[in-house]
Amino acid sequence: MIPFDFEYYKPSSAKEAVGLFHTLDSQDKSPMYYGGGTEIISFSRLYQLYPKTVIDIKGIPECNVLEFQEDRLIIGAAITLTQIQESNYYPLLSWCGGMVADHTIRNKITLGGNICARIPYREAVLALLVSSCEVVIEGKDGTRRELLEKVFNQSLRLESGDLLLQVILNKSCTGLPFFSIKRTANGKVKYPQDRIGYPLISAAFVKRDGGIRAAFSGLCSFPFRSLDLENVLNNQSIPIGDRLDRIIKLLPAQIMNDIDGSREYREFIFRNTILEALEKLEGVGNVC
Amino acid sequence: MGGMCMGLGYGCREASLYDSGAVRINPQFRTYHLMRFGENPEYLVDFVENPQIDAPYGMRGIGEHGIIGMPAALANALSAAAGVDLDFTPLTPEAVWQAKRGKQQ
Repeated sequence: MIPFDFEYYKPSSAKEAVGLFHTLDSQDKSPMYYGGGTEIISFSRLYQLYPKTVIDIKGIPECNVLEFQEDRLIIGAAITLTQIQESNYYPLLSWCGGMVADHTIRNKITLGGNICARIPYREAVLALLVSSCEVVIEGKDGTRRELLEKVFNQSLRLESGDLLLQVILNKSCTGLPFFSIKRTANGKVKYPQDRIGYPLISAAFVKRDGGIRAAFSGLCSFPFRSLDLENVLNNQSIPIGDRLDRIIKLLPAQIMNDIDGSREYREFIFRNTILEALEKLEGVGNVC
Repeated sequence: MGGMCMGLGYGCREASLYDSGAVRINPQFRTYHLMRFGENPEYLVDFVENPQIDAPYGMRGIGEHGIIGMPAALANALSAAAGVDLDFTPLTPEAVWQAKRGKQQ
């Protein structure tokens, strides 16, 4: 139960939504955009969030697109993780989004919500980070398109009132060979997800242009892809053990340490995950 | 069968955790993990008939008796598999890894 009242708006265009946000914000009504609502509901229930108004984005046509348009795949911010899995237009995104929460919750969690969430894991982002996609953002000054890698650094860097409308991918990215895995405190998770829980590590690896691209969550307190890390990962002149040691030093932040898993255990799992990915994608074999 | 499942949960993951100020740090099902449907192994149930002589018709309540042996059975199995004595719960993968590492060092 949400223990306070709030106002609810459901605009039918992106421009209207952003205008509404700024109007409500100027009236000190602390508006929040509302997609699936799973975070707003669970945080509000725990008194960790008090939106006085929510702006539901599910009435905005652009946010509900899920289709190929010529050589691009367009996914609206209000498309749920379940819809992404069921359409399976981009299998790696189905995998990564399919690692989140459980089936009932994925029926509600939207792609935009997962990208912009507060939770550290946000696994759907992994598939996007390795695929050079673009995001469409509605702001005060109109609609703009940005490369995700330019605007995603630990979280999506938006101005107050900016609204994520869509993610646009090149069709060619959606069919690349990939390896994706999630491990929780209680063990490895298969796909479709057979074990629920926060990840000690979730990872997405894609083979592209002769190299491997990699993105991780659960390891640090945010999802990330690191070019420095990939350069070492793909440097086959270095023995694999040394590559792993160097990669650990290149992580963008300290490895998480919490009740799900200690820092040293997460590092152990991370090393094994990289070995497993190399084996699957490079056919290195016998590296474990 | 429900008792076996509960026992396995206590054996492999359920624990109440507290910080240094004795405040519970896993007070929700989000952080206190139960065994979920589908994570369970196949359970084989058989009855050892042992009438309770002071009860009508020898009836005996059997609710939750299945819990008692499970953590120990799991610990025995994992100890044999890991080659290290595991005499504590919960036996999470990390706990087994730590115990094995402790032995190696």
